[in-house]
Amino acid sequence: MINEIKSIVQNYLNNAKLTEFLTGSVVLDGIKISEKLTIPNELIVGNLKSTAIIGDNVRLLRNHGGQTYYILEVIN
Amino acid sequence: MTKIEFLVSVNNKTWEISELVKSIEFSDKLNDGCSKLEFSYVDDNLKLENGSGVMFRYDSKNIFSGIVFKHGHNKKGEITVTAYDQLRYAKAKDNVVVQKDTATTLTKRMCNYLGIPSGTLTDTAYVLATTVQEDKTWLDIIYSAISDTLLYREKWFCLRDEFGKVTLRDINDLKLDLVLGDKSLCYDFDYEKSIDEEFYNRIKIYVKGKDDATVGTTIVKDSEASIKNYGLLQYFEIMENKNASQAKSKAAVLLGLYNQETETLSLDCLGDTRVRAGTSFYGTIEDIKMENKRLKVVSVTHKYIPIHTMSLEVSL
Repeated sequence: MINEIKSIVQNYLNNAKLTEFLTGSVVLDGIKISEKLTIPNELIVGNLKSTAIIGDNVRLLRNHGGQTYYILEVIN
Repeated sequence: MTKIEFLVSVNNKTWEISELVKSIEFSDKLNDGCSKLEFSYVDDNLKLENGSGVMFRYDSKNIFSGIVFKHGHNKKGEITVTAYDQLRYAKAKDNVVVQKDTATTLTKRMCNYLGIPSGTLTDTAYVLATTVQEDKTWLDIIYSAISDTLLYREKWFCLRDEFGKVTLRDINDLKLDLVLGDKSLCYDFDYEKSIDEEFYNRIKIYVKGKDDATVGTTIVKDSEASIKNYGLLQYFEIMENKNASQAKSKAAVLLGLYNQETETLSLDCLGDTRVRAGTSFYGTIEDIKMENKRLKVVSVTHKYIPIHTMSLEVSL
């Protein structure tokens, strides 16, 4: 029973997509955070969006729900 | 029994076991996972293995083609087997970026990526909002694409396996010229009408919004007549990254969908092989004053032995 509840809560949290820090590098059509996953430009917000250039490493804050990503800073 | 054709392939050999099969049950749900064929047979010489192919035809109609996922044995020598269709493989999780995609292109991408054969994929013609789907099953990703399409285009689609091929069909294309009811094929029914679940007569949407003037507005849409009848039942949602006019149109659609008493009806009937989840037929039941009403099948279980019967749940 306890294990089932744990796995339900875990699944829920995974699905709910809580706020999280991520790092990625700027590429042509978005920010690449892993081999397979590039966040499209449409979902990226923040003042730094216009100044970040291709190749920059950036720190992102993923909003709850996982459908907007805020550029916090450029890291080098 | 002659109507049954039952083929299994084990280690590249195909066996016809229609004479050995003791029970066959096929169940199918509308946009809720893969369909399932459970059967049992008696024979100790034929050992089915997980991954074996199963093909079932009834009365020369293709019913099921899938893969064995479970088999069990008992002392009496009876072997019970559960087989699923190709959509079982769509439970795989992945990261998917939805961009300029429709439910149709997503289904295509899934089939290519997972190596699943595909059949007719009807164009849903609704381009989905850009999203990142992280760590979700392909099935959930496509089902949510189907619900968005329903919400914004008011057209409903059904993802299913048809004899080994994944298809996407417009529900409107699945209408059968079949009448089921107390005078036709049906021998038992169970009916319920409720406002207990999924019933709302006021839709309230709070627009969290983009950085424009509409941030923080609340959209309310309700039906006075319905509130007078049933009392106030409110739906509330927080909408992000949308503006007030998008919220307004969503509220109107939701009110239309939710401001209706939900009726559930289950029927036990003589079987018709065409009936699958997502198809619709005409229902006629005198007791509840229903006459030739289009009913959509939400889930169905067919039993083929000793005679073909089916139990359905429909939405009205």
